[in-house]
Amino acid sequence: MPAINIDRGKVVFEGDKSILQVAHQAGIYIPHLCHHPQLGLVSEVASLERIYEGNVAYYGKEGERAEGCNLCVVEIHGREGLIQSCRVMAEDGMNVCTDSPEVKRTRQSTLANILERHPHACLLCPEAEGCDRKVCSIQVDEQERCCSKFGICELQKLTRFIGVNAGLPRYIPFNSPVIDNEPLYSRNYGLCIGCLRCVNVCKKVKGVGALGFIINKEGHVVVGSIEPTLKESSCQFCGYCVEVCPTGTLTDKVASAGKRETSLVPCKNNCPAEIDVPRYIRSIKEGDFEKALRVIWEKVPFPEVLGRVCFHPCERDCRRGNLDQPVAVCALKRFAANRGEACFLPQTVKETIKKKWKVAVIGSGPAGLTASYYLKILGYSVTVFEALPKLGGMLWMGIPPYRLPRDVIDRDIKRIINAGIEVKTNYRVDSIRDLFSAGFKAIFVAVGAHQGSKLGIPGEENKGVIEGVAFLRNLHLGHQAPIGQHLAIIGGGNVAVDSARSALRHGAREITIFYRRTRSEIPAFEEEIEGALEEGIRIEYQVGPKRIEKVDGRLKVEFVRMHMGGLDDSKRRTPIPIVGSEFNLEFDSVVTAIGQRSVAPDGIDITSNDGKGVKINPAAGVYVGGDLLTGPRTVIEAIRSGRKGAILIDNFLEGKCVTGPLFTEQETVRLETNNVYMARNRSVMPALSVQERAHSFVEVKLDFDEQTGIGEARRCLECDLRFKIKPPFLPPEPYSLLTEENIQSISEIEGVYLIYDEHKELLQITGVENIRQALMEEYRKQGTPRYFSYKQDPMFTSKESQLIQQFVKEHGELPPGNKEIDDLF
Amino acid sequence: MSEQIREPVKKEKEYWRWDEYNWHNSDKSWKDAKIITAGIDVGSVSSQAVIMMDGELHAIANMRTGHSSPDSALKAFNWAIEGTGLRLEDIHYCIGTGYGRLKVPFANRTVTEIACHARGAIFMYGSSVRTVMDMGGQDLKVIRCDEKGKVLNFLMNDKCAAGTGRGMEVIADLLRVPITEIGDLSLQVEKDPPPISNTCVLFAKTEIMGMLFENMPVTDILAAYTAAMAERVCGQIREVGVEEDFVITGGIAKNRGVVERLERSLGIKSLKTKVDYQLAGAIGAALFAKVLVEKSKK
Repeated sequence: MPAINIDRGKVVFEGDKSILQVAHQAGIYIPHLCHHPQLGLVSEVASLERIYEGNVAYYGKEGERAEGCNLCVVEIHGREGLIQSCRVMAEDGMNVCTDSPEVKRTRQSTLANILERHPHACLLCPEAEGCDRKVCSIQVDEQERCCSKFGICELQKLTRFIGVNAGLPRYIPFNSPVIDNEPLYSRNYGLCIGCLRCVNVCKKVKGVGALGFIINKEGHVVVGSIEPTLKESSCQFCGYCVEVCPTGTLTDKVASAGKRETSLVPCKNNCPAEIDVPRYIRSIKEGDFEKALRVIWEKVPFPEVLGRVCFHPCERDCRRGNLDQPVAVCALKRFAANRGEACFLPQTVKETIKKKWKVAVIGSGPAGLTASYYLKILGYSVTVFEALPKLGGMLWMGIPPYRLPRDVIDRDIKRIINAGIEVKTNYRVDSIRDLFSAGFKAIFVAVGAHQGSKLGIPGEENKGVIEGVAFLRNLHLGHQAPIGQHLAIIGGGNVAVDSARSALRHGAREITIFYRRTRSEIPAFEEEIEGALEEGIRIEYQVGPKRIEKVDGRLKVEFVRMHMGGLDDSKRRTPIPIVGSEFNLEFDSVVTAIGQRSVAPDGIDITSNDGKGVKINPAAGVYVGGDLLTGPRTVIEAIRSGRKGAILIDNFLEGKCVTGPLFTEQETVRLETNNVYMARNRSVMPALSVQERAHSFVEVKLDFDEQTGIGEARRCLECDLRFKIKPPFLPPEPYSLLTEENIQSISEIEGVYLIYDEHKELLQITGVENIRQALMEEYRKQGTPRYFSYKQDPMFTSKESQLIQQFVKEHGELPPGNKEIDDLF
Repeated sequence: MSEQIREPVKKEKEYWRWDEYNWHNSDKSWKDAKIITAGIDVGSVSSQAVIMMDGELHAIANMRTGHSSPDSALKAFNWAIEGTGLRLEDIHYCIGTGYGRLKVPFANRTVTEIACHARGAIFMYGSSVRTVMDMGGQDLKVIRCDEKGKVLNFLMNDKCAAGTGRGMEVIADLLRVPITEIGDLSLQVEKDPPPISNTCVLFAKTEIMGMLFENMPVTDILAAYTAAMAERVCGQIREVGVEEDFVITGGIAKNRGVVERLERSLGIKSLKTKVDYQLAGAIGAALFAKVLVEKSKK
């Protein structure tokens, strides 16, 4: 194999590679700015005739090439002068020197030329660590200070590596525009050093070419968009340019420290069940509906149900919403489920290894069935106990068929049961002890919240006053008695609105919902409220009932008006009755829907849960999930807790830490454009007209046709792809392996030491009086190999705070080792 | 001539000096407590000792940090237990925090002041606190925390004495105004004069000398100085973002002039409490100590 010598060390390589690439592969850092592991040479992109920085146009000659940053220079034995290591191919037997005095001097003066046109005062300030850069003791003008990327900036790290020569000229601000009025990104061209990574990635990786550059009369590179706005420049908002920018020129408007991936891929982050949303949208876009369904199924076994009733938090912060409207993610789930179904049966995907344990699941709602399904896939024998005659829990008992047709529930449930789950309906489990004596080793309890809360007012016990959940349950089981024409619904949640809309379909003519607070506080989903209003249901706000009386076979309800007081514990305003505002109304029936409770089987104490997940008394193997644990919540949250429960039970029985079953393999994605539809608005699902739907239980919303569905998927900006871009190769951090020998070479000094794990991730920052002694203590408790670095400083406590501040800025939390004690509470 | 020089200089009044004090709860005996913990916060300018019985404040002391930190820690501790009948060996666990935290020789361990301040603030003001601004002797810290006091974000500045207690002491001395009166006096102006343009204490000092020379009333100068401080701090806190409820701890929190101006520019009020604002760090440390004791018992 061919090899070259770099700084007296031999490095072997394969194929055609530049010296820079060979060096980086061997972990030897050669400074660079225009080079990036994802990109080709800077000379691959040519200048344009005109570019824009906002509304300002810059003109130059078309077709010119930039010469690049020139920082990667090295010496090659036997060749004259310095050579750009990114342009010269490695040849067997070459002797390369990356750190001769000549190389270092040249780099410093090249860097000086770059920094002359970039604010850099803080890079040189000895007091920069622990400075907020808001107030400057040495009165440096604000424009000359570093930007908010200070501390995590690639240019800063490079400068620290190369060093600056004494005569670095002062930065003179020039009036480059800050473009802040565009969606998603801020561009501060005053910070641009003309490395052209953004232009290169846009043109060569994404294949779009929304960004370009010119070379001005002074020979400087000026970067901008090809038209005044990004949209006009046909930008596809992929974020690649921000990802590769080594300075603070291109930044995301929303990106919380340390949580970049979650804040920049909000759909995936917001999904309670952690469905990989961008991935299944991409599969739809590519026409692979089966794979889309597999991706969904890895996290939820109810794709058809969710495609209809999920409250889709994935759409709330969709970044496409910053351009026009969010992608219709929920509708696309239904679209995928309808089309992927025939070919995909998840239970056949994985040959399960049978495990000897029997697990019982109490309750067959979304939480219970989800737990059953994943437990089965993990290899357990699962039995589901359901007190009612039908499986599905609240899906069946609570959600009306016009929102969720019964055949949809049945299809999802059938697939789950077909995985080989034993089912016992009409079987109420009164005590979990009986199950243990029947041989079950673990129990998942998810009995839901099927008991309506009482109003606590006189006359509530009258015939004709019905609990909302009981009303819906009886209706859905087919034995609800007639309710008359004139109906009052008390409450403002989804049960209230579902009751109202169902009552309309069950023969009631005049329906009014009475809610104690205002429109802005009503907890029912907006869509449902709008549907109800469209169908002629009235909503009275800031009204509460005081008493109910039976008068001549009808119900007389005394109401009182409310005004809004201060915030209560749930951070909602408290309704306060207005004295003297009472009024009476008469109804045939009154439906009360002000909340639900759970009735748990014996032996379950819900108060002992940890508030976060599903576990209760894990030593005994009893786990709790769904509404029983959380109080009435959404379907997707119930599914989440079901899946989590399955994983915890697997951990309990088998002691293995698993992430749950996977039905797909991670594919290698293409970074080039998928032709995002930029000019297309959100597709609206076809729906039945008000006349067609108001008195029937037929489903209101209809599926997309194939063309519309794929078209809608193509609106997705694929925000997740930017994280597939290779990370830049950064200057080495000064760590050493935590060995006795390395520690003994340090003298007994005051300062701060930093401990890194085997992947060189920072674990802990600690200021001490005697670094050597403290490191020896660390060394003695070590298990896996670790690394350390240290900074000598007599003011070590404040140095420690400074370094912690730096870390928090980058990661959004304390270092794991420092956080440990914080987590005790 | 030479005789005169040798004469001892007449001792000036120490305007910068603030009241040192101790207190203990005489209604309760420490003998009834299950867990007795101590938190010692050795700051650059002041030191506090807090003794807690089962998570309740039992005794406190707040004093100036001397030249030697180990001494300060022990002095503060001894002063706090004065009259309580407690001895050092009665304390189940003691945690040191603050700038001089490694100089608490009798502490079982140390915890950073960042964590302690957040925890202490939650204890003092309630679990609704999300932003803690600590205006200490020599630095400024803004801490964002959750309802349990877990640190979520953190920003500090220890490069500049402007806006710190030490800076305020310098100004007190220069203007010969007792430090405890600066806040109230600075509010006795009809309208705030333009803030002092130099935030650096050294330059501000020169600027103030100029103002004195022009016979500007002391209240105006104090208003201009506290306004400048509030403005400077405001920029820092905006960097982290203020989430309510917002509280100010540390010695400067006692200066109404700074606090009210800061609240005005931020457009929000800070929560107030009866507990000494300077105690947040020491209280947090004592609370950490309690959790560690409880954990070791489990």
